[in-house]
Amino acid sequence: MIKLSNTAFSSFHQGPLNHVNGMPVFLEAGHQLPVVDFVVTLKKGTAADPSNQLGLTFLTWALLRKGTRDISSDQVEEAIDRMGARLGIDVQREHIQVHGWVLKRHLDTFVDLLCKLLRAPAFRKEDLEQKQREIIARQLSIKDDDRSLTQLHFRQAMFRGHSYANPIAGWPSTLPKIRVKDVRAHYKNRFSPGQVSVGFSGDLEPTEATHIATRLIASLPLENEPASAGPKSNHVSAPKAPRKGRHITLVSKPDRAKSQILIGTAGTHTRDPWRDSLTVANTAFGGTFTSKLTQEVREKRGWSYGASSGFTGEHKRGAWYMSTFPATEQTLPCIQLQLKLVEQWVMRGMPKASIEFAKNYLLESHCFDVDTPAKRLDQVIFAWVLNRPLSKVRLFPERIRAVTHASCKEAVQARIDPNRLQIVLVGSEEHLAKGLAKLPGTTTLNTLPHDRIDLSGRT
Amino acid sequence: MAPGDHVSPEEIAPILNRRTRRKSAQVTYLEEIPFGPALFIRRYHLGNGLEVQVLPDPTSATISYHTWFRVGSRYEQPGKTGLSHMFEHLMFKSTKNRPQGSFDRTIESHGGHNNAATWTDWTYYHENLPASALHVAVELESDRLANLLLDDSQVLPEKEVVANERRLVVDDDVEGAANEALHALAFRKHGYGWPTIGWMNDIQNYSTKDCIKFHRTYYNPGNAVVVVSGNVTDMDLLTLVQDHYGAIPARKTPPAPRTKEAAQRAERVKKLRWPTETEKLLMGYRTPELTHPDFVPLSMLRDILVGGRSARLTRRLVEKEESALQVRASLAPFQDPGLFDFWLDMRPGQKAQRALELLEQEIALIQKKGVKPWELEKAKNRFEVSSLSECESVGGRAEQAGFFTMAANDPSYGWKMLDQALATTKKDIQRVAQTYLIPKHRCRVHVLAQSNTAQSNTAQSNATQSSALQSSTAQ
Repeated sequence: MIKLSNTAFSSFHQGPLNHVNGMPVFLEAGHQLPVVDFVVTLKKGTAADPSNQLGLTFLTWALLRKGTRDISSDQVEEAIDRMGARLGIDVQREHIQVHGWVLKRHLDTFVDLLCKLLRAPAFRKEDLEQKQREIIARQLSIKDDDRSLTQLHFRQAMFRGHSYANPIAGWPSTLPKIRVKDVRAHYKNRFSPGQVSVGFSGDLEPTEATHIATRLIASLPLENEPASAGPKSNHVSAPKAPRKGRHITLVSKPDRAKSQILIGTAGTHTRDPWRDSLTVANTAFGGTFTSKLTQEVREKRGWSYGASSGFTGEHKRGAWYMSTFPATEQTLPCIQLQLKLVEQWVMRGMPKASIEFAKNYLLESHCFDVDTPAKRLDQVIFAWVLNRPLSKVRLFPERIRAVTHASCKEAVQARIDPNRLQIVLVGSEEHLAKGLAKLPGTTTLNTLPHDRIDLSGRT
Repeated sequence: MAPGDHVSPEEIAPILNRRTRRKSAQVTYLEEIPFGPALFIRRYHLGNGLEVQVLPDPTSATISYHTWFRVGSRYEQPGKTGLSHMFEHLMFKSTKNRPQGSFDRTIESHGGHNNAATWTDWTYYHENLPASALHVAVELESDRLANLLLDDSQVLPEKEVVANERRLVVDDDVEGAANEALHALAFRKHGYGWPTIGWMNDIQNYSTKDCIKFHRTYYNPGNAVVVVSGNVTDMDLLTLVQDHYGAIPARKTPPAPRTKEAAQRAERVKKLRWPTETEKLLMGYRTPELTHPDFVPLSMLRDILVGGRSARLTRRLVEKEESALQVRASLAPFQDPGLFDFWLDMRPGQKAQRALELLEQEIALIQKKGVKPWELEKAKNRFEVSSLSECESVGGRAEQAGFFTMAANDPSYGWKMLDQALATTKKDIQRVAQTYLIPKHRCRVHVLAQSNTAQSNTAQSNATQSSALQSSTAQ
């Protein structure tokens, strides 16, 4: 009963389907379900926002679904929902994605609507002001969410003064400064052709994909430059190394039953020659359920429901972090244990057997990265965003096999500095402050009461 | 004939049954039923009562192996709440054949990942593995079903992990705490009234003996359904199942509790103080069980009220009045009557009481005038999209089949619900709004900001059966 097509086009295996005006079109065809998933990706994000208008990119793209001069916001939402479709606008620090998910029978109508929105967004003053109020209210609401609060302060501690420290949506203090004229100017001529791609997955033939991509591309706010000009710089410099020492930020909330903790330092970047070794090394240290960190914190001691480590995904050097959330009374011993584990990791590396296990895990689990058309398309788009040849992505197994025990140790020593750690937690000051100050190597302890948190963006 | 060769489902049982005389290992073919627009599912029984469902997809490189048990928090007793969820943890400990940590390590050594989930009516475990590692899932799952070891060294540390999980999802989480309070308010007798994770006192007090008794009662083949989706053949799977589960003896499982909640005659309201700057409101209207004919129109009504940005409540409360930051709603997909609940997260300075008035106005409008044609079309299309999107991956398909087997004893019940949705009329939706969304059948939890000085003990008290709730129950 399954409708199979052995000849279905796959960009993951075959590269771009074609180019429209120099912009690549990707397709991962799959005909099991009558749905189509598509994504327009633009290689520029919020990291390039002007410092006095942080949030400009987010706000501009959020306003896209507010309609055109002839179509009201209500009409847009009604039309999308009526089809049962989904329109997602995902704004990140270094790229933007306009994502559509729609039943095949509604594809044409949906694309038609999206083209109108992309071609001539209304950018009305009242919509802008309403969106500003909504975003600010959302930002203030993170005070209720310990995890988000920890992440916000961790970014600020890690990337002091750099655009990576800012929330994608800007700050409550910077958003109101953005005017309609700023948004219009920001949207116009925003991207060069080299910064645009269109990808499809699902129930679509190559000719249909090309036709729809042509319509979408024709609606985008592109500069009149040839595609061969290549991607424009994002104007994002690399962040400075984090401060030397161990710096603790305690966001104080009264009577917390547990603490949310992030401990980290500088991590890796997209062109880092150590990247594959770091991936393997971190998998062994805190990347799986049986990794060292999880075993020591959760399995042996039961201190935290979750314990993991990983890298944030910036193009320039991002962060490496450990995440735990122990009960208040176990917070100090948990932090001490984590500090000891990271010191040992950097000094001695992981046992050879652990590295081999991690390599094998990454090799064997790779099939889950590419087991649906949508996931294969993600891989293709991700490679394109990072300017990484698809051949290199396809060679993931070979790259992982090439990693050695020695290269893991060397990579960790080259990148993870236990003498430049930022420790950020949301927890109860009355139970934790004294103990935190006495933690070995503590350089500074900054306590912020949760109800007086400064969301102005000042660091 | 070698396993994996093309054999019809009817031929498989006789072939396999020639391999063994053991009654508990005898295979019976039950049926083949369509599963969505392009797939099918086949059901088999083993002599010991284990049900096996196969959802083949030769285009996939992976498999998803699900084991569903007919036990969840409603099966528990007061004082022992959270035991079902506790097994979500204990099942990953040691067995007579495998030391602690071996389960996860074995799965990871094949590149797989595994997890488990518990709710009111069921518990399930799943492994996603490369197709070539099917045998690993069968070996591990059958082993822990038959040979799980439960002693203090396994149980005591895991109680601490679960207590920490509770601190994360309830005690320090405003929505978790409100949700717990709402269900305690709504269900005074029924097991839906206590949290699936359990009350903190119970988690800290149950013994290893309690765990052994619970496992013996509910973890047996006759109370389980194995669903395997992905690149698998019936023959390969059933051969492995027969070899590894066939010797596990059948055991009787007690029937599900039949507690009936007394009719609610007036609205029930509670107030919850929390260290927050914005008010929140959680409320639940009483609704029927998942298999009731009104469940689908109610589900479509949910979409008309809060599904997508064109939804009535989203438009009114979030966009036009700007009183709420978000409005969400969900309909409990339970075996017994549950709640249609609404979560309103207010903006700074906005009162939940005002949002409640607006919400009631919108509901009253539907009750009086019904819904618009485009809203019905939207609800139908969204239902279809949702059904399809849940079946994109092999894991999603196994989860759907397992869930609907638990809820309706029919793995493809979700597709029957879609048929019902496509046949639903505006009148159906208006009628269910009139029947179910009435204030006297509603329970409400208001979350109010608590000043810093008055905050002490909140978290601790909430951790012990929500005693910090200030009751102003109308009934």
